[in-house]
Amino acid sequence: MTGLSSHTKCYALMVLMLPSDSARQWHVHELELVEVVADQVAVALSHAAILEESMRARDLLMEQNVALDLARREAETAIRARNDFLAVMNHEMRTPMHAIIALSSLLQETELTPEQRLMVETILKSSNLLATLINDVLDLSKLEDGSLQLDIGTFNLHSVFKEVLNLIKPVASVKKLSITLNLAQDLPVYAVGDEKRLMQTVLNVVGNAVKFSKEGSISIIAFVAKSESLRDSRAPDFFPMPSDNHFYLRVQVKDSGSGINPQEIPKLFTKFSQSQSSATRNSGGNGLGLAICKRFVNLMEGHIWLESDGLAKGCTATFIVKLGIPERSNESKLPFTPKVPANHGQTNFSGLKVLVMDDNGVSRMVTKGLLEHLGCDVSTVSSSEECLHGVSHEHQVVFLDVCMPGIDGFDLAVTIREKFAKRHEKPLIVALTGNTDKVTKENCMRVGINGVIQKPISVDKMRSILSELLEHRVLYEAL
Amino acid sequence: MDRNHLKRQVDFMKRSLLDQGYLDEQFIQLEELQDDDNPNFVEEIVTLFFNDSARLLQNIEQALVSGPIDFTRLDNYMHQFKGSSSSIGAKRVKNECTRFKEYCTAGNAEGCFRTFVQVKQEHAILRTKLETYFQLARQAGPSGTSGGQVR
Repeated sequence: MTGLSSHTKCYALMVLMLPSDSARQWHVHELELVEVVADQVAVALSHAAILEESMRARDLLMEQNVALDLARREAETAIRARNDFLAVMNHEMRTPMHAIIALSSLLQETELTPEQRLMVETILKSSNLLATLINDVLDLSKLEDGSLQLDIGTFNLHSVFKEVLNLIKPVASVKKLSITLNLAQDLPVYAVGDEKRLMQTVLNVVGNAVKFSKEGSISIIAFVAKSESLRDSRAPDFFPMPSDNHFYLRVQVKDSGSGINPQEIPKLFTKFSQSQSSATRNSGGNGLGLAICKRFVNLMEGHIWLESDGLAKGCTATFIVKLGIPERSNESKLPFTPKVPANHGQTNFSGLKVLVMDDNGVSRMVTKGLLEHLGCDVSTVSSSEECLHGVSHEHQVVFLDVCMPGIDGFDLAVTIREKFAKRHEKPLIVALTGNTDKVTKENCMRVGINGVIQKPISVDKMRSILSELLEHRVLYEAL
Repeated sequence: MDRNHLKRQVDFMKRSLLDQGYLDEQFIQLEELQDDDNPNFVEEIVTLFFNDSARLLQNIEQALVSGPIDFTRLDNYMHQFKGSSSSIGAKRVKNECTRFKEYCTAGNAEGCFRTFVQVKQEHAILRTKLETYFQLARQAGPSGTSGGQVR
């Protein structure tokens, strides 16, 4: 009896039954031969087994490949479908959004009580924010491939927080939540950065706090982060470097709401992730809110994180972003320069392209002379048609006389606004008026005019006006 | 020497025009705009004003004497005229314009007539004075910049 085995595995057993009364006598070398044959059979059997194994494996692999291929195609289809859906939704969402914005703007033009006016303004501001959000959110490809760019400009930092507070207050008061805002004393009033996206981030974080609190209070604090507090153990790979013309803004929003399971926290910043618990801190249920905030905060060279002691124990959201410090503005530059009578040729505005619209030849010439004296490149027009025809995106400021009989300066301003509504570069519109009343000023503000100046204007006044205007993009002197 | 004397005369005349209320600060502002690129800026503007206003005054005159008075039209003309006058700093003329506009708004034809006479008068006086002023100024040569040539 011989075991047919190859290596350690036994494939078969070859039994040679020799009857005791067999006539054949088996010699030893014959038995050895039998053993050799048996070994060979064992080898053959093992090969066969291996072959069978590998064929099975190959079949399995082929099956898996087919399955993977199918899965890949399904995924591609899904992505295509998603992108198509988003493209359609993008358009679908924008349309009603425009309707809301347009009609709210029109509503603003009608007779309203102060309360109504306030409500309409809030609607408009919210819709504008929402419109930006739609543009950003639905343009997923930009977020995904990282080509989203910040819109940098100088803005009023304190106002951003106040705006957010105004927007969120109605919702909070309905839920009887108290909100407190604490801006540090040394927090600069003006900063350089992307105002809209910073506001979105603050709004999102505060909005979440409100949404997930059934009662209690929410506190928002904003301060300039000093070196020690910048290096945070929770953000070990964050190395902020404050410098002379930048500072780090740190915002902490603390709520006493439903809290978060600490294990869920990392997932919150992932796009489209849905946590198991019914309360998810991603806004709107589409799972994008915090992911977007994280993207914005990262673009602002900062960091955002959440902390919670657990469910029902409240949550603190913190983010740090880098903002620029604006150049010392005209306040220190112009009105305090010593009044040298012949300041000919002393101008900061060489090449500034402006358009002057005035139907009065003499005053048109005077305004033109004034602006040319300051180095501007001045074009003049004397009618609405000429104005609309001649104004281009190259003009940085348009001066409109709003007291021309027969020509509605306000209408013209609105039309100019509309002409450049979709463009990033649009001219600032300044109204020149001989009127001293508040009504004119309000009318101007309402149609989106950037500034009102009372005639007559002196050279120094025009110089400081242009500085202020170009710096802050708005100017309303006390009339 | 002679030029300095002329310059002093020019300054003196300007000061008296200001003191007597014929001109206001706006005129000074216009002079500030005069530079090497624009050496005759003020005279050019003033000339434009008088040409323009002659036309406007004629229109107003026509509107006043022909048929029933259209106060709106009158007001529009006068608004233009007033605007121009304040642009060059013609203080007295501007004040008369304001008075005229008040009568216009009130629909007071007689008041309009009376005031219009005043407007024309102030306009004529100013024209004469400024003509003299600019003649003097031209003789005195460019002001403010040193080493100016006598024309």
